[in-house]
Amino acid sequence: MFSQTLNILIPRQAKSIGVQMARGARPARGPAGVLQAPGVHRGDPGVHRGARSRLWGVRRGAGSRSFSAWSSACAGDPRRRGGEDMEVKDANAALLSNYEVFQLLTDLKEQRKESGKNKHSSGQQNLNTITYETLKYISKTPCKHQSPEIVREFLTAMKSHKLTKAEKLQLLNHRPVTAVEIQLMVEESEERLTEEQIEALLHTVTSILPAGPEAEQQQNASDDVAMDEEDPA
Amino acid sequence: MFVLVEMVDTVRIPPWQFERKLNDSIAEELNKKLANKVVYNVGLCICLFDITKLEDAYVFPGDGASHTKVHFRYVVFHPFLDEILIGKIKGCSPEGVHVSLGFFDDILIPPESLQQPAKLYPPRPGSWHSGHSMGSRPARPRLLYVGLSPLFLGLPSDEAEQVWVWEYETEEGAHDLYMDIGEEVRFRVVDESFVDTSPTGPSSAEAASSSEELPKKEAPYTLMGSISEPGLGLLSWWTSS
Repeated sequence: MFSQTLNILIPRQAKSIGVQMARGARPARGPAGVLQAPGVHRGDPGVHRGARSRLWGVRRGAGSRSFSAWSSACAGDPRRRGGEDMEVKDANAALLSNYEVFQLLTDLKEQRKESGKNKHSSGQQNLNTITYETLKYISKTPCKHQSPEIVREFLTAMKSHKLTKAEKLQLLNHRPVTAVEIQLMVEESEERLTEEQIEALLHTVTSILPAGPEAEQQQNASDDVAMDEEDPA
Repeated sequence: MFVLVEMVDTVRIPPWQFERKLNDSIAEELNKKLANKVVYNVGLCICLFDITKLEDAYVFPGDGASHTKVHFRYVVFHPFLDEILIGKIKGCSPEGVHVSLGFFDDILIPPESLQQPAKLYPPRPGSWHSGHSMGSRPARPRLLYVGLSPLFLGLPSDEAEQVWVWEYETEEGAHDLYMDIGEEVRFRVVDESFVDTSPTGPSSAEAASSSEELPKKEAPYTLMGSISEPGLGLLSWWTSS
């Protein structure tokens, strides 16, 4: 309520001070230093007006300065102006690979596990949900086993193939193993890449990037089969 | 799939949290405000990446809390156009195939973007919808959404379990490749749409809608996908064994 009263007074203050000064009446709100106007006689219209305008000028100069300093501080008050809205400065500042997001979320999870106490408050539920789901999704992709060195090595190896940033990102996130997948991710691959180049690209991708968890399962399954076949012999 | 978005916002820290480090309080507040929420024309916010700049914190008259203007970067899910994604089939309906990524559910692949020819199976009872010729062009075979009486076909009459089917033609004959629920599918993002779901004022809403019908819940951010290219669709269709 206190601030509400102030709100009403703030815009009018600049005007009312001048009036009060002209009347030579009680000192107005605002910095005391400005109130030392030369005496003004109320009855004298000409002087009054001129004086008032002069005072008004004086008032404006100093009073408005201090007024604006305070009002700019108040202007940021969300409750007064209905909130300074959140502003998006750049909606596309950088592209993130799935591995980077995976790393960020695992670190966040570790941090929150250590601090322990406030995980379960209702406000944190959204963060918990989205972190859990995103982590679950990325853990099923090949990005789980990557590391910064692998990513760096991959990008240096990709320099020779002349692909766009978006294409390299897709190759990094998906780890294609067939030519069909390469054709999906690389635009106009028939014109830009020959068959040998596609093979070379596939080879680079599969050799540098580690396989995903599903591929590992299949690998284990086929290994088991091979071992079983050897046993009877 | 994920982008970094730079944003500026004023964060309010109530007095009982003044003992904590300002950075931690601000990070928690920002996550509370934005995580798992869709920002219009930006995307689905995941989590805070870092805080770039903290301006001076002010305490305003009448409110004991401190207000700080924060410049920060947030991780946002916002796939670019034509990006390839892998998701799980959540369900099939006459509108198309619904795909989900776990953390994001509103992905739709409309019937015209499925591998052609495609049909919905089992068909709905008692509806002759031959006029539903979606994407019918002379070159491509027509999409079939045939309605026949289920008793005539000897099929179960409830249409709860409908799946889209790709009628794949080879020399031997037509194979029906089903798009079952829970299958992983690779698709291309072709379109996105943001809907502003902020609440509207009371005047228009009350006059328009009656009290019986619930307002339709619109998803704030939907993606349209396509699987009509070689290599797209169920992963099991394209794995070479």
